[in-house]
Amino acid sequence: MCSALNEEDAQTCVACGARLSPLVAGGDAPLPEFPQEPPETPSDPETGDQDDWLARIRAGVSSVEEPEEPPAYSESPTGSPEWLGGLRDADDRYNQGGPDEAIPDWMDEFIAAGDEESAEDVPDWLARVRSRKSTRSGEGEPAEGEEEQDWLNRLRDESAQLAETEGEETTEPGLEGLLPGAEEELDRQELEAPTFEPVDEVDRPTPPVLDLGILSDMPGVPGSPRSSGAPPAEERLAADASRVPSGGFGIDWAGEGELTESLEVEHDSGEQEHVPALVSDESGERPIVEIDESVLDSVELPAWLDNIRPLHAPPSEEPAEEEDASGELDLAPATLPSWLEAMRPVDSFRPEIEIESDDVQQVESAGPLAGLRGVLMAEPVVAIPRTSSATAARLEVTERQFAQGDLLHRLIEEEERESVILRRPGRRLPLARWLIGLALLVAVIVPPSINRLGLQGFSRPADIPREIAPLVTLINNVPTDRPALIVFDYTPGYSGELDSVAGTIIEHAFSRAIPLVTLSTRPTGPPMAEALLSRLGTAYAAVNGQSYLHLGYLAGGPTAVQLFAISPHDAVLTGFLLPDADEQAGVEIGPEVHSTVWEHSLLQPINHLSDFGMVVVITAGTETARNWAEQTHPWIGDTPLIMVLSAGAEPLVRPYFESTVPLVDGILTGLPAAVAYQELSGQGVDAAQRWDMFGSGMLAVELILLVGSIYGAGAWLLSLRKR
Amino acid sequence: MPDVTLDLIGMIIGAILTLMVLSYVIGDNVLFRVAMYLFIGVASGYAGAIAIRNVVLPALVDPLLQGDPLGLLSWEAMGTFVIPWILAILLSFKMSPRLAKLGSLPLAMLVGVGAAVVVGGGITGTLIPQGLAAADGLAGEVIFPAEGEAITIWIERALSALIVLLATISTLIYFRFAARRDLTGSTRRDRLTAILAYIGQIFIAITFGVMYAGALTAAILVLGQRFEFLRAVLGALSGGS
Repeated sequence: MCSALNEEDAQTCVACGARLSPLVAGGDAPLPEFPQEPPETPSDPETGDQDDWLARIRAGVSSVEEPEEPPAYSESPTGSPEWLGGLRDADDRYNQGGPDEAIPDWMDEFIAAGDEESAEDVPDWLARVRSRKSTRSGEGEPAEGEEEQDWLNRLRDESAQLAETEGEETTEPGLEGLLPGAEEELDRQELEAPTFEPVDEVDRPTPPVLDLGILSDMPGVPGSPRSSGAPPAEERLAADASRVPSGGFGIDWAGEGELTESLEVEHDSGEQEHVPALVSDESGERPIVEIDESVLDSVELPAWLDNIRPLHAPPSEEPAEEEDASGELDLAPATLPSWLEAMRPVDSFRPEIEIESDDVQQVESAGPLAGLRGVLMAEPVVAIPRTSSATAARLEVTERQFAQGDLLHRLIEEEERESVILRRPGRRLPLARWLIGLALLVAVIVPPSINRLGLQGFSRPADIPREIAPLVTLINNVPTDRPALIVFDYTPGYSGELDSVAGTIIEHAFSRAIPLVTLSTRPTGPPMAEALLSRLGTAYAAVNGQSYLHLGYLAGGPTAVQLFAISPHDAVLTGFLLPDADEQAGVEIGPEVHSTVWEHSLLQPINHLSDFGMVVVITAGTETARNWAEQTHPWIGDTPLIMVLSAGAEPLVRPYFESTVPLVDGILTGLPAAVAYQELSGQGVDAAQRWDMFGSGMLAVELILLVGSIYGAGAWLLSLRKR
Repeated sequence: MPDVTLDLIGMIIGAILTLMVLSYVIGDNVLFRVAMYLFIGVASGYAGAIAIRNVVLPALVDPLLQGDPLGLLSWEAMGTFVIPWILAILLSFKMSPRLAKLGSLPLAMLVGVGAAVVVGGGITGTLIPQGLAAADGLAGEVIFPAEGEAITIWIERALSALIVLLATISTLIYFRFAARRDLTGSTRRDRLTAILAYIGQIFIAITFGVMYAGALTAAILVLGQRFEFLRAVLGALSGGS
């Protein structure tokens, strides 16, 4: 529209000639007389022909494709519109059929087959075409090559028949105005044009298609492939005439899109009631005509065509932007995977700021954006707290996880459940313990009474361990001019055993008048040494300071043992229960007060560990025995090292004795060995007095073990029988 | 009525404490616990007294009281008197949590020296001699019979050497915990190693059994000695022998 002011009752625009009053289909109003030519169409300065916007498009297309070839329609001598000639020319370029007036040989078979078709199988439209063909062939106007059915001729004839039969009944408003004389001109050009002859017009049902090149892709353009199978162009134009906008010039091409879509639906449904398109699938690739957008933009298009452009624009490079511009595309919503849906934050894109109108928005006053209106404020986005997106995430739980969670829940419930306080079962009397204790008490109490009654107790051990005799010989060979070191490394708990075992060697030493020097790495060792020596020494008139002496406590464990082995004077500074100098004066110990134990006369020959006549270690622990054996062997020299052990420590100390290069020269373990030692050395019966008690106690233990084993075996058999 | 002497009082107290300990046969009771607490306390106090009397006073105090003050500044006294004093003072800082770090030096010295002594003694006193002793079981004079030696003695010696060798090897293999991991992720010894380890386990069990039997015999002997003591106390109280 030119937007020029017109009078209210004006039918057409005085400026552009466009119709201002609407057309009513079937109305009484006469058809308007559209001007044959646009009233103010500017003339082409170069050609001098009547200018048209479509001609410029065509010129642009031809300039892009074949700029060196002049437009074919310019040479047409006919009086048809220039733009229509251009369309035909462009369509010729698209048509990639055989050469003009040249039918390949293989087409003859199809032609012959087409002649043999029965009249019943021929559709009505084809029958009409054939009748016209025969009429024209009878007139002898076209040549034999021209007798090949031209689809444009059929189109013309069909259009003429339709116009004759249905022209009076169907109003076609706007068609004549849109294409004044176009049909007749089209028929004339097609009949006279020697350059376009479809090769399959006979063998195949020729559709009344007018391929218009670029415009052929436009829906609604008559003859376009997209409208194949549609009614004839006149019918569709007549039907679309009702949608011509009032006052508009021409057809609403945009509205034609709906018709095209409906036609496409019919075509897709397979109900091909109409002639198929001339452009067959065999043509395969159709050349794509690329139109320079700049050329199109430079062309002055009529206002009504502007509505077409966005609708029929080719797929642009930025479809996303177009979709955004349209805003409402009927797209199926995307389906996210469940796991991704669960991870998607809900409020990530939740708008926090409402965009205000320009009038309300404040002008930025500072920063590089000063003076701009509508600047987004950072504070609402950053500072205002909002719901965390983490809370919106949902956890997908599998069946296994659900089962595990349920199990954990039940466990927690059981933990939280108050436990029922069970009544404490009745206190059971430890009868088994009492019986065992009683048996042991009787076993150790009865034997002395039996001896008093004159009964004979257990016999002495017949088999003397083979290490006892060498030990007795060793003690007998210990020099008496040097003291023997007796180490009391056991706690009072083992005194009942070790006093008896070690007493045999001590008595043997006392009997040989070997001076004894005691030492202990345990604080409780010196008093136990004093108790044992004083008790055993009474029989041999041995007194402290004369027959024996106590070095006391040696602090430091293995390190002190090594130090004592290297330098005894540095390891032990003072003794234990040293006799007073005044009391020792009569026995030639020395007139002066001894500042250290090493000044005692018994220790005068002692400077090293090897100076002792022998070293006897009395211990109940394997650790202590190993320390003495390991730390003293480099410095002990030829001095024999004897171990008096508890029965439990023997297995781990005996290897030091039975080794090829023994670190221990003698070993005495347990009461049986002590009794055997006493018998071999001819001493008293200190150890032997406990033999009967020891024997009865061991017998009681063996019986208890036997009874317990029988009870356990019986219980096991009963349990098997119950099973 | 016998004369009440300190020895008799001591014997009576000893007998009472013995009965209190033996009351454990009935079950855990107050008398047993009191006796245990008493023994622990007395033993600790006695050990402290012995340490002060035999170690602290002779080494740290007596030189100050009896020796020459100028002599304490000599080089000899530095190693035997000054340094022990410094180490003792530093070690006493362990009683204060704030100054405990200062006591780490003498403590580290004690641990380091003690470990060195034990390891050195173990290598030279146990590992090498015992290894040589085990290897001597393969010596010719052990394996082959000597001239004029009874066959039974030779068999006994050879069997003993073989048993010692087998026990040593199998016991050491039992304490070898390296194994390959199979496809299931579990570790399993190879067959030979498993067999030898099982034999070593048997020898270890025999050793512990012998130790337990020895401890049992020792306990029986101690029990008998305690009843002898009780009988002696009763005799002393009754005026008899």
